Amino acid sequence: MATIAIENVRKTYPGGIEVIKGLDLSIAAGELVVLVGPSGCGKSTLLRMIAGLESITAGEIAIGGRVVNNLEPAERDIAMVFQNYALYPHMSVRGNLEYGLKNRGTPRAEIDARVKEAARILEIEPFLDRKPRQLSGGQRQRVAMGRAIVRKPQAFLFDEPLSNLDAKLRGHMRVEIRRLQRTLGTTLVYVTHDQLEAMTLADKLVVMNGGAIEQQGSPLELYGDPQTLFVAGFMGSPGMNLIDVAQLRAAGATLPDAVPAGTGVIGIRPEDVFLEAGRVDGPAITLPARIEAVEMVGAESLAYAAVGGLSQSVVLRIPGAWTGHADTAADLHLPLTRLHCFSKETGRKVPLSAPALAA
Amino acid sequence: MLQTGRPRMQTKRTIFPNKVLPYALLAPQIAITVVFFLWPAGQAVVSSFLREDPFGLASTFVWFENYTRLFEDPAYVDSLRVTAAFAIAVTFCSMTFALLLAVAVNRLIRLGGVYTTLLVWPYAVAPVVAGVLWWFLFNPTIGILPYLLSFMGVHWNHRINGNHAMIMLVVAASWKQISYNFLFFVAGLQSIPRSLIEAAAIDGAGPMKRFWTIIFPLLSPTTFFLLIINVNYAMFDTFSIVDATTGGGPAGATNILVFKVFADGILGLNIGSSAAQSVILMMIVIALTFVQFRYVERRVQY
Repeated sequence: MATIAIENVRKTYPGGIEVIKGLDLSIAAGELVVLVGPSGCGKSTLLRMIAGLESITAGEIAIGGRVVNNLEPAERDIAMVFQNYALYPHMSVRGNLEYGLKNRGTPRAEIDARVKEAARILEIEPFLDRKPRQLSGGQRQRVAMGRAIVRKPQAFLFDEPLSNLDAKLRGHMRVEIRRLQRTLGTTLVYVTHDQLEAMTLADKLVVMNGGAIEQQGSPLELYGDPQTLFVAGFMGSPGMNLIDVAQLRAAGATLPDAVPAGTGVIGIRPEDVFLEAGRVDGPAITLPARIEAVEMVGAESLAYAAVGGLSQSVVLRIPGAWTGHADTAADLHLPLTRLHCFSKETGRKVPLSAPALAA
Repeated sequence: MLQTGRPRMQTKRTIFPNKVLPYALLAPQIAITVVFFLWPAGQAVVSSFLREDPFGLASTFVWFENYTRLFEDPAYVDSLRVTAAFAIAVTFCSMTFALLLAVAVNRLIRLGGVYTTLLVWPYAVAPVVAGVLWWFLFNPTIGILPYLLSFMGVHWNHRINGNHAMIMLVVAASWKQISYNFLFFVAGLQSIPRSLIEAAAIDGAGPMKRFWTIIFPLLSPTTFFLLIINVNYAMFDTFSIVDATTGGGPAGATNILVFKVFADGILGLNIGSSAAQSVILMMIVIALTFVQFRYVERRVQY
């Protein structure tokens, strides 16, 4: 268990391409931090820099208070789980688990005890003498995690470990990883592009974009109070409705005074848009719209509403199966308290003024 | 043949209703195999049981006498020994150097392609040219290598020193084969996922340990394939190198089996003995290939 401190870290590839642009991040001991972002945002590069598989162009990374910039991966006392698992195909499962311990000269009895323990925790005892190619995807994934936990490292680094599994197994393994991390109490840095995985796993969620951190905090903080347009659109499925104020004005809608000056885009979560005026308490914006399509997801329905003058349709999340007809006119009610206002120029949040809300 | 019980939708096989056409299409290949392989091989087997009179006018059937004589002949037993030494040395040298070069090139990020192209060139050199090239380099009178060696106190003369002759032959034969092995090793190395090496690095294995515990075992299918190819190369394709450099000498020190077949049959005109030797050679190849594919390949599976 160790802290990880990343200070003003940069990564520039030959040719001047800067993939990490001066990034600061501090990870507490025993914390499960998820780095999430679209592909190419630098999240994997950052993880690989922590692991020591990529050099650090500038800045400092410290694990457990020890600066590791010039240490070999082996000397950093971390363990990594790769997306393709990277199991040694010519060794048995047992061989895979033992390899790291053998290289460090661990006594035989200790190796056996640790392998046994890891195999018990991950329920891979029956496969210990099989080769990786004789295992299913989920079993390989477990072995990959086993190889990490036998070492008892200061920190685990997981690089999209579940993206090669089918949806059901992924959900199952997600719960297992969470449980395992809680039991072992080891610091875990987890990289994913799947925001659902990120939401459900993280103690601390770090949204990255273009080599920098957009926002960090608890998953609910990021979901409930996104500080930038990018985070607002990235978190949640479907993402937040982002409505261009200029288009809204051009269509003849008037915005209440509560919307602060300088707001270029207003955002609202699909579950915060209502069809019935009665369900809204407090002031709201009302937009005439036409329901164009409805997706029944089961427990809820997603309705796509076209608002005159807006280039994108507004998505509504309605609990249960929606009984109305598609292609009908309806009024959308957007409660002011649920509104997020963003500046179009900076992409950052413009705070709602409290007195205006009260009015 | 039309209905094989399998759903026809799934097979991409084209079926000719004509009974003659398939044989007609196969005929050219069959003709080539028969004329250039089966027939000469058969001739060799037949000749190996015959003895010709000194004028080549008549021949008598002598059963296995050509074979028994061979194994009583110290020159032949010596040739067997020389061939084994030569094949082992060439295979070892060419594969070791090729692997070293491949590992070095595989570490390069940008110039790898250039080095690969340059390193492949020797393979395009005809064996006889390779032989002559090294013959010049090692020439005791005008060669640059004996000149350099003289500073180290080595008096190089492959014309009178059997070991020198053997070394020159091994160098020439290996040099040519390194390119071929190199290509296969580079391809083999590139097919090893990077993440495996990275995982091993995190698992605390240094570069040498990574090579011997991860890379080398994963290369083993390539290595064993090359082993078969190289042993066969050293035993058969090196004829012209021997012919162009040592001619089997001095005193039979480089008289490998394939050259002895030629020397006894074409130069010495002892067709019966030469044929028996080539039949033995053929058996050796068949046995080697069989053993290697059958037993060694099976253990390579992981």
